[in-house]
Amino acid sequence: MKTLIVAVGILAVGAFALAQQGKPLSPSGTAAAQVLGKYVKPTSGRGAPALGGEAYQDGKWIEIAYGRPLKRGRDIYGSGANYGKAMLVGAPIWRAGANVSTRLKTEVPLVINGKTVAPGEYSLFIDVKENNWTLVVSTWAAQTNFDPQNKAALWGSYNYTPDKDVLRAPMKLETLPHSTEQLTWAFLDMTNDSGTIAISWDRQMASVAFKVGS
Amino acid sequence: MPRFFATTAMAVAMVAASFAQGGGRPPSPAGSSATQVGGKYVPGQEGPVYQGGKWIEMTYGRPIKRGRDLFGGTGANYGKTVNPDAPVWRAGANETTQLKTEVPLVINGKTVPPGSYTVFIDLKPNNWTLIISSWQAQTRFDPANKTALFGAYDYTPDKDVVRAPMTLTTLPMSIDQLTWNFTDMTDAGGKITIMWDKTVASVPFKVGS
Repeated sequence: MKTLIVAVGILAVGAFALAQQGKPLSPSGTAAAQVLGKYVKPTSGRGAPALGGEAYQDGKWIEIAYGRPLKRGRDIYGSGANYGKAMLVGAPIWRAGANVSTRLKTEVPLVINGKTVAPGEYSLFIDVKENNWTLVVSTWAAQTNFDPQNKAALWGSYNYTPDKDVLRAPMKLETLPHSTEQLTWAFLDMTNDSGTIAISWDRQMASVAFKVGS
Repeated sequence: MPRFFATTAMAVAMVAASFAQGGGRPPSPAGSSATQVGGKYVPGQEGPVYQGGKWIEMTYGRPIKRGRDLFGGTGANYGKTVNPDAPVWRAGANETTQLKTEVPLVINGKTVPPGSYTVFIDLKPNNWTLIISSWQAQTRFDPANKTALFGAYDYTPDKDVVRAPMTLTTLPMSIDQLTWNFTDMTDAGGKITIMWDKTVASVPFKVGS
């Protein structure tokens, strides 16, 4: 009983703190896709009306979880010697998000740029050079709250080192017809066993193709 | 007093347990899109900090294309893949899509006062209409609740605050998961934009006074 009361107290304090601070400047978000599933008529129930009475079953999830910064009128990328400086804020590589490190969680092996990423959780970074972006998939663990004493996991991309890189892949850079206000990761051109991982912010889109491995 | 708190804790624990048991991630995960207007950058220890902005936010369920032909039907069948049986499209999944704004928004000549609204789209071939309604949203499906909607079922137009034609464009790539975004933002306004598959539909707005 006492434990429960303490737990409620902690919950209440947490809720109060959130209410006081309001929405974080860069709200959290996710992008998710499923592969390898199939549409089947359920043996019981009516199935999903929007799927013609079928249901998508046994799909495997691929997900990116990240903080979503807003452009807020800024020149995000800069140019020349200042290119990328505003995004990096002193870090060796871009977290491609906000606050926590951007995380990739996959239930299937992914083949990217000729290398296989085994099912699991990874951190994503982008090496940003003008007209030359490189996606980095790393086994660096992520801190859930900033803790400068924790040297075994990263907050954002501060203290990133390349020794835990699983792979690096050049990104295809494209210009969008509109300016996206909030940084957005998305899965594009998906088939049941392949697709593209893309990041969009302002008018810049950068993407990398992947296939589901075996 | 302790008994009240303990009961609350049990309820919290039961909800958490039902989530953990509920078969994992929903097929259409929840998402949000947010923007701020009217704030300014002030000097901070680690660079400029944005303060005093007012939020405009959309919250919605994010269905996934999963290989379907979403907007390919013709005539009376147009839109039936994404909206088989409701009067208008919820433009999301599960719970009704909601717009929460801390500032007045001027859309298609009408002012939407600060508050919480539901958002729908009337889908016709090459002719999408954004609907902002004062219908309230159910947080869990309850067919007995006639004062709030789940998705777009039982939507009626009598609570419409504004309807606005959407500009439709086509992307060179297919976006797998339905995405609302604020685009081309300035402090004076921007566009409310929905993207799914290769279709982009948007409506401009201005911040009102």
